[in-house]
Amino acid sequence: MSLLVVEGLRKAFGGVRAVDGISFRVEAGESVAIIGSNGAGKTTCFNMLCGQLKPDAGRIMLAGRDIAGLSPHRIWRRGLSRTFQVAATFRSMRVRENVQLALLSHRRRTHGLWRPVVGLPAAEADALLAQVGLAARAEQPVAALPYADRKRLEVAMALANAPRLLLLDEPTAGVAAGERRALMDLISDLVRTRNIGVLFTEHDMDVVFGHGERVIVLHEGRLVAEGPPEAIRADPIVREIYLGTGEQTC
Amino acid sequence: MSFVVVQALTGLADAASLFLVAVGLSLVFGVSRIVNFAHGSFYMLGAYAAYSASAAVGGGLLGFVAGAATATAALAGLGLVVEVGLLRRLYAAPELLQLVATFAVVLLVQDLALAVWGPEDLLLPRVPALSEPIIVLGHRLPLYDFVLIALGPLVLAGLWLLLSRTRWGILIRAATEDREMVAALGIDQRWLFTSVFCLGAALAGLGGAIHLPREPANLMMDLGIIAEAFVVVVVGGMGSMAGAYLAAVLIAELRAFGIVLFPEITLVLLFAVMAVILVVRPYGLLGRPDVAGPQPSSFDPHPASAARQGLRLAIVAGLVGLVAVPLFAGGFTLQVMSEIFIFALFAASLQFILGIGGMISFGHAAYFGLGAYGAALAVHHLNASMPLALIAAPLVGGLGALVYGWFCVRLSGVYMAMLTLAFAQITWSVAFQWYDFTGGDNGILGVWPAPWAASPSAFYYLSLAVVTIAIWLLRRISAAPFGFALRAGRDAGDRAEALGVDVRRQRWLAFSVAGAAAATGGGLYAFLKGSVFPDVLAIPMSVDGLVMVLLGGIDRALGPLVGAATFTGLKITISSATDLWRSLLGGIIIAVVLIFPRGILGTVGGQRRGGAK
Amino acid sequence: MLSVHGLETCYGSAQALFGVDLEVADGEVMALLGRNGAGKSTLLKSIIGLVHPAAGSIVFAGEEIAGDPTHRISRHGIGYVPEERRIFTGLSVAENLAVGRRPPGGSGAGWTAERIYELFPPLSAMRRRRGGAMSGGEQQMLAIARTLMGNPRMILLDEPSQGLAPRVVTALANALEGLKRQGMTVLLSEQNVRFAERLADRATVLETGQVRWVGTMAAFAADIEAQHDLLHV
Repeated sequence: MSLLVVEGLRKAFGGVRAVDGISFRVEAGESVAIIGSNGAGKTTCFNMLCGQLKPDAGRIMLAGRDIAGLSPHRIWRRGLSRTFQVAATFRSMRVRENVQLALLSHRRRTHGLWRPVVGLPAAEADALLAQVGLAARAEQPVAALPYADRKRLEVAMALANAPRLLLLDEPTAGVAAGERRALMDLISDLVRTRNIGVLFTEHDMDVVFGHGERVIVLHEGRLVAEGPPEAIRADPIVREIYLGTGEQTC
Repeated sequence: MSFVVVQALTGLADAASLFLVAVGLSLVFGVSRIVNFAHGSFYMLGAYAAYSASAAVGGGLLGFVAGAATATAALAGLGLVVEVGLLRRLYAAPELLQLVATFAVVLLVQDLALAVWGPEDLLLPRVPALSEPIIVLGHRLPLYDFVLIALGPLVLAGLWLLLSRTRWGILIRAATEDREMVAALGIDQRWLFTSVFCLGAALAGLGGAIHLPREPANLMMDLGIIAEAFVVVVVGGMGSMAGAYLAAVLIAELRAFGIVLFPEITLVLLFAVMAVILVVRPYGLLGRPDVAGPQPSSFDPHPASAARQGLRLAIVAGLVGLVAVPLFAGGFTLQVMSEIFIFALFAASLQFILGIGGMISFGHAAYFGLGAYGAALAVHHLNASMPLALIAAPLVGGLGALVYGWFCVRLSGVYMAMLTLAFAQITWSVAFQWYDFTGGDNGILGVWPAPWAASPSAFYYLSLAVVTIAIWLLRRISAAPFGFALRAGRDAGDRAEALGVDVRRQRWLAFSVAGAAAATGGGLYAFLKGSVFPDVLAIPMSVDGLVMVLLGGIDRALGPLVGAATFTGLKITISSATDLWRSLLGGIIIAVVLIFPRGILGTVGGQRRGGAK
Repeated sequence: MLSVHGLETCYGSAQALFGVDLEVADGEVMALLGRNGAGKSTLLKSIIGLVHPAAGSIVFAGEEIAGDPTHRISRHGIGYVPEERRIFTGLSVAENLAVGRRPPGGSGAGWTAERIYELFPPLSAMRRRRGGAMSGGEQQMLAIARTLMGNPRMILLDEPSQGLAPRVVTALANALEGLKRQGMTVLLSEQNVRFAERLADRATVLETGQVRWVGTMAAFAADIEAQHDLLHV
């Protein structure tokens, strides 16, 4: 059984078919990239997987159970975790507290009224922070973190519920070129050791071809190509509509 | 049958002025994203201006027309002054500050109207040409009702033409969609904002003028209409003119039929209809979600932390000091200080949802007042003892917050502010009108403390103990997982949802906790004063709470106490020296908003914190 | 005509531009190339004033405009066509054009709605259609047309060919060539090198917020290695 099975996913906004019948699979431990120009339907597709949008039609089976149309917090509890294109962290908290909150949520303890957060799973939070290389910054306010470190923090938060599937929305966007590789290597290591399936969108082709074991190409809401990176790189249709080097473009 | 037609016509006539006020509010919001509290004050001034102008011309039909024209023009002028003088400085400020600043204008206008026109209701002398009866199905209706019935659609059509056929209108519609792009096309938005604000103010002035033949001008018109206009705008859909008309008619018809058919529950009916509409269509009848997109309040909060060692010492020392006060202070001082403690709890509960939850409540007095009424009614109707009544208070207030909050937390930003205010206003109206149960505006008297707590010093200790425990609990909750999850929802709602936090539920529970805490203060307040009046539920009380929070600093642990003490101290010293308390309060608010947006503690302590980073 | 020097722009704590220099001469079409996230859009937004640069200078027609409010920069004679097009979706085509209309300045070309419809014939047939009901290509034409109505001396085009079908891209390129013949100065941000090659005289290539390559468009188009290095194509 595949970890994620998407079948016939559709979503229209006022007559515009943003996602027009997409089907694909992701296996456990596999890393899949979704590419496509702006407006191709990547973000809409992502938002449906995470529960921020309700699909008009189609099924989203996570480990055999349909999650289509559930609210984001329910989907998270089923084992799908995500990061955001613009790193979303809790800016009024310290670095460690961000991770603590994610851990508390995983244990359904966010309604605790009495014991202060300070002492709650701090050791585990620190362990997660150490894995993303932020151990030394645990006490700092998030606002003081450089942007690339906020992306790392988001990864640590996303791992707090021991997810089965991780969705990364442009994981290296806004990160300086020199730090991209380190960030992606980190993510690859973490998911490999935990056998997590990864689905990511990305504009940086180095990242796509370097870290995606399989690449899915969307165009105008449809899946137009799917395959290993070498095949996609050579695919003439993909070259024309996305990579922009087709012969008949003008 | 004829009854239905006549009531329907009366309702339609009633809808006219409500529509004029609401549509202006909606237009201004669409372009500038500011919810103008003072819009009801413009309506009131319109009525007064029309009265004076009509009298100057010598009354009659000419006087009425002159009055309406004067009101429209005068309010357009006042709109210009307010926009250029105040709002223009606030477009980039957080929503809460914008709302509070426009409320300052409400206060200034109240004193101005009192000074110019006096406290008496001013009734426009009968205009024979307008009261000419018209027979409809055997009932006599004044001609003027038909003028009003025609006026609503006429104004709607006029506005529609203005917005669709003039360059100005096209620019306004473009700016409502995308202000940045309008600027990139070389258009200076400042004059667009100013002109649309003037138009909105003029419409409100006209609304006041045309209402004058039906009801006298009085000093309570402003807050009365603003609450209804908020309901109309929320129900009709923000930014939709046709929606505003539809909702104004709906509300006016409900009232027209409700008063005849179910006089006791008219308000409850209004509430029920509004609630149903908002659940089914959260953006109103004709509203679009994209116009209503929530804007996160943009306070820059400090990293949360458990109370620092120094602060903790200061608090313990302060408490010891407060315990010693009755040893040397007199009865009056102790009473004032008890009141300060009670307000500190009120402000702390508001700060809890505002600062940590990011929820703007403009109707927090509802829960304080429900607590006060809960305690007083328990004493009055059930002969409850003081401890029982004090337990009843948070139960009643918490329950109210649980019910109202269920609706309110579905909205955010200014929408939530408007809805909380509407609920508070409904609660106030119930207390005001349900004479048999609440005593109406005579209030409930004889709510005295038990003998053991009757002396000023005993009541002082009681207040100090209850308030200290309640605030400590609130702090405790803030530092516990519950508070963190709430804060997470405020900082980055999508992120929190994607970490399994049910943000809406978290907000709802927090809203209820805050309601119960405020109500605890309300219960004490009833016993401190020995009585309860509808004032404890009214909009000014909610705003007092907001000002206390802002004065102290929205993100400061001791903010509520400092804010309550400063505010109450100022109020007592100033109102004994002058009648212009409201103007002064308005001035204080504007000063806070423009000069110390981070409050007293934030301004004093900001430097030190900044250096520590 | 436009001279950018040492420009630095940040979004919060994420820096997007690191000391960018750029010169565009009068009547020239300058291509701004680079991959997604290279800083092209940010550079255009910084010029038009939608984001405020943290450091550096922007001189247009001899006047410093960095830090001015957007509407004033626009009135200096800079037109901006954003990547998302940002058509007023509730307004008709004619109304969208009316929002952009401003009397010609000293060297203005005197654009009228009629001349616009000549340049973009498809728009003529849909004057009363709502912006929200148009296709991507039509919206792109309208976005450019709306900007021309302000009679700019220079226009900033952010990825005009993006997401458009090849046929539409050709039509767009024809219209832009017409504009170029009339002497319009253009700063054209693009990822599509073939499209840029057809229009641009010179090219500036950005990578991670820095200028990596400046020269003639022909030279860059011929330099397969540079294209591979900088654009990964």
